[in-house]
Amino acid sequence: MHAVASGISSRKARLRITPALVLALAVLTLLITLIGLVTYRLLVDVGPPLAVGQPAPEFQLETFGGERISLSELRGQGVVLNFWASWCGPCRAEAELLESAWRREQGRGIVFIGIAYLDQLPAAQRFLEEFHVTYLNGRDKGSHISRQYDLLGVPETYFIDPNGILARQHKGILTDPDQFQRWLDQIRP
Amino acid sequence: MHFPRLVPRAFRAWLASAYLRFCLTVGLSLILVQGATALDVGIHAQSLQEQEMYNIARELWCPLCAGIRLDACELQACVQMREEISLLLAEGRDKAYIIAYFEEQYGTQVHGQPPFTGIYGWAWWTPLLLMAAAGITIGNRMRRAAATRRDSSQRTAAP
Repeated sequence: MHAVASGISSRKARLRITPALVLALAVLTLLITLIGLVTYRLLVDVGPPLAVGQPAPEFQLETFGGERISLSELRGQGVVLNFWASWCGPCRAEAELLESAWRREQGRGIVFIGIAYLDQLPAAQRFLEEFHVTYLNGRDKGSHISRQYDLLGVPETYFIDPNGILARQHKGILTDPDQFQRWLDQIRP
Repeated sequence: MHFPRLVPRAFRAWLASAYLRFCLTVGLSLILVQGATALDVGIHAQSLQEQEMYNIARELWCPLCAGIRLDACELQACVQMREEISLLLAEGRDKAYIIAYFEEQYGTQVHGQPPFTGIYGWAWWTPLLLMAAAGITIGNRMRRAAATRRDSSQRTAAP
């Protein structure tokens, strides 16, 4: 009996609350809170998972010409959102297809927007000049738009209908003009 | 050129041509040295700017790779990013401006270290706080152990 009582008292002595223990617990709590906050911030930046049939994530873009546009402003028109980069070989291969489609579709209810992903200003401008790109283009500053659209790489193209609903996402190069035309017809107002 | 009459005519001609060759050699050497110096200054200036570009690139990370510094990355995107640093340097921008510009364009992950301000600043302060807490704990333990030793020695010394 005496041995048991002494065991309990020694355990109590080991669990004695000291200022150092309180401080250590406080620091641990602080650390856990911080990890939670940082994770929350990352999740907020990523946003809900992207899905066809769901509203396309809203974004604001400053074009190379200095114009500010947002997706919500384009409600009522179909939107083709193309992510590209000057250092990306396949992006060069689809540049002509996109530009020729834009020239054909201009004024028919579909807007083309190019978003340069992790690109450099001089090289991006050289790319646009080389392929005579005339549709709206801008840089994704801080990669916020790319994260919202779950970008895996470039090129990627998103088709958004006049109600702002994501109708299709195409990861990779656009090669077939007929297929591209069918996808454009799907988002025509 | 005038030579004393004592010097034979053949020797005079040889002397004149030797003098002319000497002058030409010295003149050409001077021109070459001048040109080489100018060239060296140009190369030195160019290498200084390149060195500065690499100094900045060393503090940045490739946004497309995992854990590769911008100065060592061979991707076309990184080559273009280094070119962008050179252009900004040529415009007269300093290191702080260029790093801030890259953070704005590519996100904070492009910088090799989290910012001191905002929530990421805690990445700097937390280890310091932990170290301070550990120091206080160790100090307390040592003080307590010393006090216990002192007490026990006093008890032993007492009759």
